[in-house]
Amino acid sequence: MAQPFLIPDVAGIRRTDLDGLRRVAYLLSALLLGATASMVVPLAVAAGYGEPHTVSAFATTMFIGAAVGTIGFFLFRTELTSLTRREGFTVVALGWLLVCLIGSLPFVLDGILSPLNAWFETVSGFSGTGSSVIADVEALPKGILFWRSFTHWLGAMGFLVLYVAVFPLMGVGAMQLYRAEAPGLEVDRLRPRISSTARILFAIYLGLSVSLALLLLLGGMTWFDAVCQTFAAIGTGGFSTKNTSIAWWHSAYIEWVIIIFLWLASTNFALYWMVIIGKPGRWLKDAEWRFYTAVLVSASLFIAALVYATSNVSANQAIRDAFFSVVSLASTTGFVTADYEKWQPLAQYILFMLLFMGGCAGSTAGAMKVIRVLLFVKQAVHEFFETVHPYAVSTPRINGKPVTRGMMRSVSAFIGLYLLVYVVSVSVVSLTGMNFPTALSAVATAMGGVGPGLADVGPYDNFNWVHPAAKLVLTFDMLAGRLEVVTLFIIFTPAFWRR
Amino acid sequence: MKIIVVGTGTLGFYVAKRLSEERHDVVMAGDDEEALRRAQDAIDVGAVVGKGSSPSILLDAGLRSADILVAVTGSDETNIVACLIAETVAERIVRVARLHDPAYLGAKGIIDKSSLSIDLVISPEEEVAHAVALLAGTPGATDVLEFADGRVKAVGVAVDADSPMVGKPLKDLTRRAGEKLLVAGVYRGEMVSAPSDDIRLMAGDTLFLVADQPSVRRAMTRLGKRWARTRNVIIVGGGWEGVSIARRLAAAGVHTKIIERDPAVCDQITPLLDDTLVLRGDGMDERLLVDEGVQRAEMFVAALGNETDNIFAALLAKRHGARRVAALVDTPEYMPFASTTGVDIVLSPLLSALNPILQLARPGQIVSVRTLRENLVEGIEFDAVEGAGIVGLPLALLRMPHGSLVGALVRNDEVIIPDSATVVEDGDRVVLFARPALIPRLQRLLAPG
Repeated sequence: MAQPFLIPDVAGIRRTDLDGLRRVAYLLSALLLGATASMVVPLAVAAGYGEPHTVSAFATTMFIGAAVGTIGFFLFRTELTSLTRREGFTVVALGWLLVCLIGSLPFVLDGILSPLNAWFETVSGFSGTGSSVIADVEALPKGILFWRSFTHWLGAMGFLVLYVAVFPLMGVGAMQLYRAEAPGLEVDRLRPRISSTARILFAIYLGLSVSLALLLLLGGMTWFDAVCQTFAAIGTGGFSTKNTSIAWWHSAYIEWVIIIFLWLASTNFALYWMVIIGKPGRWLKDAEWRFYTAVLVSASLFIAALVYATSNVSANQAIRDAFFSVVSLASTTGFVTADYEKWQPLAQYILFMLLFMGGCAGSTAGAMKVIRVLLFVKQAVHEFFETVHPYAVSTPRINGKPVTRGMMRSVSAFIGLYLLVYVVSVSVVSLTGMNFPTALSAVATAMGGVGPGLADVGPYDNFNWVHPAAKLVLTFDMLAGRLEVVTLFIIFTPAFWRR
Repeated sequence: MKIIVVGTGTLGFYVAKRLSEERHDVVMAGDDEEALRRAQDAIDVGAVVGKGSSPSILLDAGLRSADILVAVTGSDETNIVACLIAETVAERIVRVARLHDPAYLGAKGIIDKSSLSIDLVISPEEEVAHAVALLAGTPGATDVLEFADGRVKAVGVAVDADSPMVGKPLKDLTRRAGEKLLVAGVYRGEMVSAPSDDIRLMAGDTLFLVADQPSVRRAMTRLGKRWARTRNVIIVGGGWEGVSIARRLAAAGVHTKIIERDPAVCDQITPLLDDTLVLRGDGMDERLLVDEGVQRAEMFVAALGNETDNIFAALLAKRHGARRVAALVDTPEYMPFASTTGVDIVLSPLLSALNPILQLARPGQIVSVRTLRENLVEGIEFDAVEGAGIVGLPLALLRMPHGSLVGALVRNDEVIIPDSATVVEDGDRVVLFARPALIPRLQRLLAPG
């Protein structure tokens, strides 16, 4: 008997659209299986707390996800040698929609939310926003409550990054997925291979999460609460397990610990790697991080002074509340300890502006990202300089490196696009009858992935009353903000589909 | 392993591509930002923009902890400086450099590669000259790879329209008593199929045989090839490749003519080529080709600077009666095209230069690595040692991935063409063929642990 023969493969590379679709379908199926598998955790929680109805909701969802995923996985099974940019974007955009869809099923099956509300809650969770339609979260089954927080943690890092980290099988495709999930800025490669980079980032993420959970336990939280607040904090999401959010604990310790960890979670993770490889100087000298920290501290102190001067709270309380609110909103988390709507209007305006800036690039924070704002400011200052010295040969620098024209162009384009989406969304939301300050802040908070806004969607309000059409627009904004606008939009542009 | 590739040209890109596909950590360094960006789009590698001979750039690329430095820029000087820096910073790093100009190593006794702190010199010109010499020694073949000091050959052979084997099943070729012969693949059009014994051969097929030398010869005869010694070879193009090829062939006693258009180049190369006739003229001038006896040439090699010219020149020579024509082509996408238009042999200096680098990056006792046809198949020759996955079990039980096979063994100087019951023993020299994508999955077979 002879050995099996060599080479069962096609040598000539013939890329067809069908091959591409097949790869996309295969990856989406794999993603669906992954998302389904992650529901084991809330299912176990529900079982542990003796909630049979919730257990069956998760079990049914998992059955559906596993069935569809498995069929797709084997039906479209293919060799993932490479992925085009277009396929990468398609997988990421459709993948997010798909995961949000399956993630919303438990809410519906458990009879807690209508399909639209469940969709809103889930998109808000995965995108790390934290806007809720639920007034009384403390009445929810523990399994559902856990899942709500867990979505923050899963979504913040990006499913695809998670995938790239866990399954190195994707090789080249990894880069395309990675780029599509965090487009706009050049990816910092901590290691030459993208899968190694993703693993490092994930380890840092895990490390931050475990540290925070332990510290919260020390502060007197229960295991369940500590884990859920950690998910929401490190994922810069904002869902709490209490109706009054972090204020429920009335603990200065817990509030300060959370302030510090929100600040850490909204710092570029690459900087932690610099510390690990023995270059802590890079962290302290990082222009973006310094700018971000300066903004946080000065805004907090200014608001604290303002609050102290205009209302009768103690200085200590004013500082704590100001720091918490500023860091919570700037890091795009949306935890609450104080009703900032009672503050002086300027304080509220500052908080509103922070909804747009967000945290550092390369962190779990959303919105425009500090680096873009910083580059934008630098460019503006540079324009003045050039007006005075029209013959000067100079270029703005960041971290000692010159800012290229290409970088500047992409920053301007991003900010323009972001504001365009903002303006259009506010008009549509207003059309549904939402009042002016509410609409302005609701869209900003959705796009930035923050959570609470002002007026009728303030820190102690919820989104249940919002018109269904407005809910759809807001969920779209959340996803657009999370995927940095480009990824979600690009699949709707004709140029993307033109051959 | 951590590998730094200096140089963003075609060779640099393919080195980085192959190594990263084998899951090594690869960082590319070079000053062509655009090329680096395109590379990162296609392959999973890190990139550092800057001069490859600059210490700070190499340090940024991770020189301190790298295992291998591959310097393959177009400039010999840059490559040498990169290796010198590497030695200063990281003593144990393996340094590989491409050197174009034979003058660096030609002056025997003055300087050698160790004084330039290079561990391995890769020379695409020498690799391609070696390949041509092998082809000259195997009449009728389109590809020849040698393993185990020449005892095992992997040979590509085209089935001609007038071959007596056309329409016959494959087993008529392989199922003969005493033949040490394996047909590893049938290349039809642009497809490679897994041949079954009953597949009927068609004109235009290319067979890949693994065999010892006498069996190759008998198989060729049965396929209707004339086993006529290669006596006359015409080379077009007096560049480094052409000169290297001419020297190799002349040394083997082949009558070699080299045609070069530029008189200055002719003057330059004439003293280098004692036994070769240097002709000044246009290699695409059919009068000149006919006058110089292209119809009597057993082999014609087009080694001009431009690959499309090479394909065209080879076709022209074929039309005028050259028996086997070869064209040097470096763009992998062009290679299938060249062979389907009627060029018998497609040689790639760049891709053949990959082989020694791949050999370095493999675990186990690798003796050599050879690639066939734009990296379609790789042949790995290694010494089987106790503890390696391949030792001790019949091949059928090894669960080798589809697309890989053991082509031959050499045991006590005897060549064995294995079947599914063959057991590899400690100390055997093994020649294994596989698609490159499968190499990471085969590592457990090659080395213990």
